[in-house]
Amino acid sequence: MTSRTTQHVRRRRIVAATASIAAAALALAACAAPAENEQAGAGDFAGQSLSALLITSHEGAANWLKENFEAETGATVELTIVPYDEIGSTLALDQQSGANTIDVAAPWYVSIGDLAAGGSIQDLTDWISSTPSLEEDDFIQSIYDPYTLVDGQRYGIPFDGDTHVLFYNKEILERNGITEPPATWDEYLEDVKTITANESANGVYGSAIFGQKSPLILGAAYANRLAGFGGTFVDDDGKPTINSPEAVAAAQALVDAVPYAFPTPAETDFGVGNGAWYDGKVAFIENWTDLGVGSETNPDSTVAGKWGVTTLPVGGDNTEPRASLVAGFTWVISANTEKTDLAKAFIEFAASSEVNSELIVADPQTGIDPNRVSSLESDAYGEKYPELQNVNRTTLNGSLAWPTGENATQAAQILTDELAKLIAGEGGTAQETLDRVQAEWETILG
Amino acid sequence: MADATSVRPRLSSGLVPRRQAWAHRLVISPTVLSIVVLGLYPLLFILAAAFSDSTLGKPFRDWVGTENFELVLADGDIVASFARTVLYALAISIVSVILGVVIALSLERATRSGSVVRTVLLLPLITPPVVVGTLWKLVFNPGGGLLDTLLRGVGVEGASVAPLSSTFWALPAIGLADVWQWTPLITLLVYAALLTQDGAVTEAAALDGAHGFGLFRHITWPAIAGTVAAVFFVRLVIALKVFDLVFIMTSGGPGQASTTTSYVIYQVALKEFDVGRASAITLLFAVIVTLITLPVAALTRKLSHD
Amino acid sequence: MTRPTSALRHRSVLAYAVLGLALLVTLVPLAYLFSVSLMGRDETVSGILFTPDPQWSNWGDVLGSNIPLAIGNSLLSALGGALLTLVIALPGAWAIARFRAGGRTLGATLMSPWLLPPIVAVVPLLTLLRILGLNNTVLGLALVYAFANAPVAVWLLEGFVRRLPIEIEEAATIDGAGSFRTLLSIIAPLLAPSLVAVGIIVAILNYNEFLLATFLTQSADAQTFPVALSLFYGDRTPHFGKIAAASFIGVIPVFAAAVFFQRWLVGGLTGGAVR
Repeated sequence: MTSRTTQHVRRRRIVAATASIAAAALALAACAAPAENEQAGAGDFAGQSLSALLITSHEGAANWLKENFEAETGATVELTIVPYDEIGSTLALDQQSGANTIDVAAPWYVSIGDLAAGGSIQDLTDWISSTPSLEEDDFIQSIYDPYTLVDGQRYGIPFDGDTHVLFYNKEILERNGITEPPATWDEYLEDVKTITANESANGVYGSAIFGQKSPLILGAAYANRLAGFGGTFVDDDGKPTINSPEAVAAAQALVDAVPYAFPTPAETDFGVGNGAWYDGKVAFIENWTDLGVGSETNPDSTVAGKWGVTTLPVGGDNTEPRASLVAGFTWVISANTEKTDLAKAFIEFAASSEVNSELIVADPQTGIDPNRVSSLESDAYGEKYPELQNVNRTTLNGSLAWPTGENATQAAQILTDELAKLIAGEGGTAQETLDRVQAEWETILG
Repeated sequence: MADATSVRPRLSSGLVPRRQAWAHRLVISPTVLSIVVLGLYPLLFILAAAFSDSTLGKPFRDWVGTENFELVLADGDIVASFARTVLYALAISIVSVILGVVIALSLERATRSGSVVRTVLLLPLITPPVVVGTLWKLVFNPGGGLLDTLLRGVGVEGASVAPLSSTFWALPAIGLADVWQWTPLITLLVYAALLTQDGAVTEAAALDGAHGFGLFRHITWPAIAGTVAAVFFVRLVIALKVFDLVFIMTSGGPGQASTTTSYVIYQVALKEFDVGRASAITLLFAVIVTLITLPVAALTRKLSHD
Repeated sequence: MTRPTSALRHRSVLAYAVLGLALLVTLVPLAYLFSVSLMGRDETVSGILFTPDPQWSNWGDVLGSNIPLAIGNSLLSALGGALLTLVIALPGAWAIARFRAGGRTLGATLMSPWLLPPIVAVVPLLTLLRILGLNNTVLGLALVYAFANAPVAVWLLEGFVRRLPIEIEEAATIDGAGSFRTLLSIIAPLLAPSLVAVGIIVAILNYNEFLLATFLTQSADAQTFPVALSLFYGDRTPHFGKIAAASFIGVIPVFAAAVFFQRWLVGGLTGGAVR
């Protein structure tokens, strides 16, 4: 019957059609590769565009940079803003998948080891050593190496210094008869207990503790105490020292302070903590130095003129205040970018002394901390925020940095997870918890 | 009646000419093929990655055999998350189904309720989980959320109530948001099944004196059993994959209390950059999910063919 | 119709009571969200149920941000994905229901990716989209959604296809209609209510999706609503009033459509069987 032949013919037609559509699709996809960029002459970037990836907290700084860089060079800057715990993975995925939509990024410095190992960022050692205008020596040295060095090679230049210091609300302290901010973590605990006992009924607490389960948050709270007790994450050879007596004491100090903190540490992330501070609901908070700028200029702040800042408390045998580099950000250039020259020009600009000096005092606040000696010691900074300038000077004397290098982000997450268990009342004692971290760190950090 | 017989597939009796069956298969094969291919490609990737040392930046750097699986199984926290997620999913699904069936029955019984009621009941289902998470996070906010305010209003003194920071209450709190969100799906599907019941049979039974629980057990339940089983299956799978709520409400905390397997995979892949290990966890979890849902799927098929 | 006995009336009261409770539990959290959306930043954490001084500026700020664009992207990817899903799923469902295509294993194979947490799949999907030149686009996301939800759609449609009387198809075949024609002009119109219902369900699943969207639509002009909302949380001082306002604005389109949804959903899912 004709129906049979019609079936055959139809079948063949359909197969043929499908095949040709598939072939066409493949051909089209191959042609859809991004157009090549013309190699521009050095210094002439008019008409080119650069894509920069930054975190939400840096959005203000990003807009400032975009405006000024565009004005200076004629290039356009496209900004992509992501949450702070997504920037590393976004960059890695972008490069790995071949999408290559990002040219420069400012990720958390701890992730540069993994980004380098994953082939997501460029080795900048040669460029840095052959570009005197970068003024390498001007970078705060205790920041420079941790933020950029991986296995002896440099993969970035510092952007945001980001150390933690101790802020205190003068009014609340006065009300509770505390005349001086605490110098040791023991004094801090006493103060916090007193204030919370007196004022928690009114919603005011001794301190806000960053306890949300993220390395930039809970990790920061711990790192501050580790720095104070004189401990280190790893020793000079890179071997983990996370269950040393100082480290355990630091963990214990954290656990002791949690019950008296603004409710509740586990739910206190960057925003909640800042909010509590600006609302005048906590006496102490360890925070990035730009909180001072915000206290004066942020429209949500009710504590303008009522705050003081000091270096982080010390503990145990340590009596020298140490800076704690809890969340610095480094400029990196993506591995697959075709606009390396433009990218270099941009990050040189963004990390330069002039720019950093302006960003640290800008209003509205940009969230940037000093990364250079020259900007730290700048007149503008000294005039507007002398106390911040003072506490930031501790970075000049050495600081505590997270380990970087391969598996560093995993290491940071492991510590954060275990500490989260500890402050939730699971996982045993501080010693047991850190022993577990030490064991895991030994296998992945070597 | 047409309805009763059309429910039963006639394939076993109806003979489709062999040649025609082949032609039909070919016509729809591109479709089926594309689903299979696109579903298979990520699956194959995950399978391969689980046996490799893969990072986010460099997949398949090296083949490491079963090393990832050994690491995962030796990690007490990850294994605990498997158990936690399964228990959570089962509990949530059972609660959702019971609530959904009860509401569906009430909806059918309350004939004067109208479409406004149905629309309102549907709202949680069409709310994005990130909004649901936000909403319930606000409700549970220790510093003045709805729960805290209400409890203070009735005179509860003392420290603020913070379910999301309690190792005991964090997961149930998320479960509450989860149930709130998805129960309308069950209500909807069971209600639809109730509506397709043969009205004449129910009336006849009622006239015969069947009422209340007896009516439900012998007439209503058999009619909706298949749907309930099917919807329990869907609900279970959705509950096993819960991620958005955990992400917004607790970030897996406090400690490990609300760390579900999806969240673990997210953390390992996207925060620790270890795609190999994340794939291993995904596969192990897949085995667990299959083991749990297989009986449910079988039950569904049995009940819907009765 | 029989007159309700007192027993029946008693059960009716219970039914209305249950419904009332369900309505309350549904509406109270939503009302609270609305109330918070009008609060000032400090009011959101100070333990009040509703503000005496409504801050409509929250809504204004949100409407001026990229949330409306994100909502547009969400709608596009949700509806586009749903449409594509239906196109893909209907032939598959028909084949499985009528011809046991692929035997019992095909059904299981189709469903198996849907059982897994999709997180690791981000890696190969990104590469795939990049090859197609569709990464970071709404179209790319819609495509991913289309295929991701096809198994569920197949599974749901399968049941509806089974309910269709086979005589109609047999008649069409005898009349000489090929399978494709049968599908298009006979099956699809018969299944229209169910197609719409399944389409709505899939569209809702797409609109609500968060994880894949976060990584597949990075830039501000391609972001979907859940992604844009999550960015509010990263602010220096997150304003819960604004977050609540953004949440509410994001659900207004779907809530408004819900009035239409529920009629189509119920009608479609009952397969028009209530004749």
